[in-house]
Amino acid sequence: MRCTYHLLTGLILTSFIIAQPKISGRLGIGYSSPDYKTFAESPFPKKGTFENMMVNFSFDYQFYPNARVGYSQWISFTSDNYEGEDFSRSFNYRAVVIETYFFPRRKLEINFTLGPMINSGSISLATKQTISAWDSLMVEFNNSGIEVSTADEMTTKFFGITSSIGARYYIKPYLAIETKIGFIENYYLKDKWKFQDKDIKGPDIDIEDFPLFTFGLVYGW
Amino acid sequence: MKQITIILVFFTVLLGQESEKVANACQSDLIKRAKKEGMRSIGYKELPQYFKDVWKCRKEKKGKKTLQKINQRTIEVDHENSATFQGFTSTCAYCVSSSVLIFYIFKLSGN
Repeated sequence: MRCTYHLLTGLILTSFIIAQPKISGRLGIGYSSPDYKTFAESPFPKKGTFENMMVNFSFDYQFYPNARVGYSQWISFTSDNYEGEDFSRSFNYRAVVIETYFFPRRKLEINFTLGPMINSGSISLATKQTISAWDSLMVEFNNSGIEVSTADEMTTKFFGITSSIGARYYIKPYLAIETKIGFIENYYLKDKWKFQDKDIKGPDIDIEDFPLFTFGLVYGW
Repeated sequence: MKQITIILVFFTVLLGQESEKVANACQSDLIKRAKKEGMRSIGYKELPQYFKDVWKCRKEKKGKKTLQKINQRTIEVDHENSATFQGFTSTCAYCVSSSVLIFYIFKLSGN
C-alpha cells in the first residue's frame, strides 16, 4: 500500500513537471563597479568603462507556474601587457538561482532572483625567457636565440550571494528582452589565493559588494 | 529462435502502422492543441513532430495566421498561469525586493 502511495505521488509529480515544460537560456551583458585598482602596484590595466563590463549567460528550468531554478554565470575578463608580458585577469561569478515571477501585463514579466554563488578568480602571466637547457639543445641543432614561453596563473575561490529584480518583455512567446538591477555580495579574502599549490597573498580588490545592471536576450521554450 | 520471432513480429507491427496523413498541416493534432492551450502544452517528445508541422503549416494558405494565433494564445496562457504569485513564490519576491532596496539605500547613503 505504501509502495503504491509512493508510486502514485511520483507519477503525479512527474506529470506536473512534464506539464510545465519551459527551459530558457539567457545571454547578456552587465555593468558592475568593483574597484580593481586599490593596491599600490596597480598592475591591472585600465580599460575605462569596459573594465566593469561583464558577460552573462544563464539557463533556467520552470518547475512551478511562478518559479524557475537555474544556473547563472557572469564573466569579468581583462587582458593586456604587464611589464611587456601578456597579462590577463578574470573573475567568474557562478550562481545557482531561484527566480520567481509574475505577469502584471501580457508580455511583461517582473522577476525576482536570489541565489548563492561560488566564484573564482585568476590572474595569469605569460612570460618569454631563454632557458639554458632548451638553449643548449637548440644550439646542438644549429639554432639560437629562441625564447621559450611559459604561462602560469594564480587562482582563488570565494563565496557570495546575488539578488536582483528584473523586467522581461516577450517579443514572441519564445523570445524576450530583459533588464535587471541588483547586487552581488562577495566574501573575498586576499589571503586565499593559490599559486603552484601554495597559499599566497593576492591583490586587495574591492569586490565585497557591488551593484549590478544587466541587459540580455532570453530564448526559451 | 524465440528472439528472432519476437523481433520479426515487432517489425511487422511497425511496418504495419501507416502514419496518419493530414491534408492540411495546420490541422494536425499538435497544431490544434497549441492553438487551444498554447505552445507550452507540447511535450518535449512531441517537439520534433510539432516543429515539422509548424514548418509545413507556414507554407499553407492560412499558415501565418495560424502561427500568430498560437503565439497569441501562448502569451495569454502564460499571463493566465502567472498573473499572480502562487504559494511560496511571493516570499521569495519579498526577500529579493527588500534585500535589493536595503543594498541601494546603504550604497546611496555612503555606508
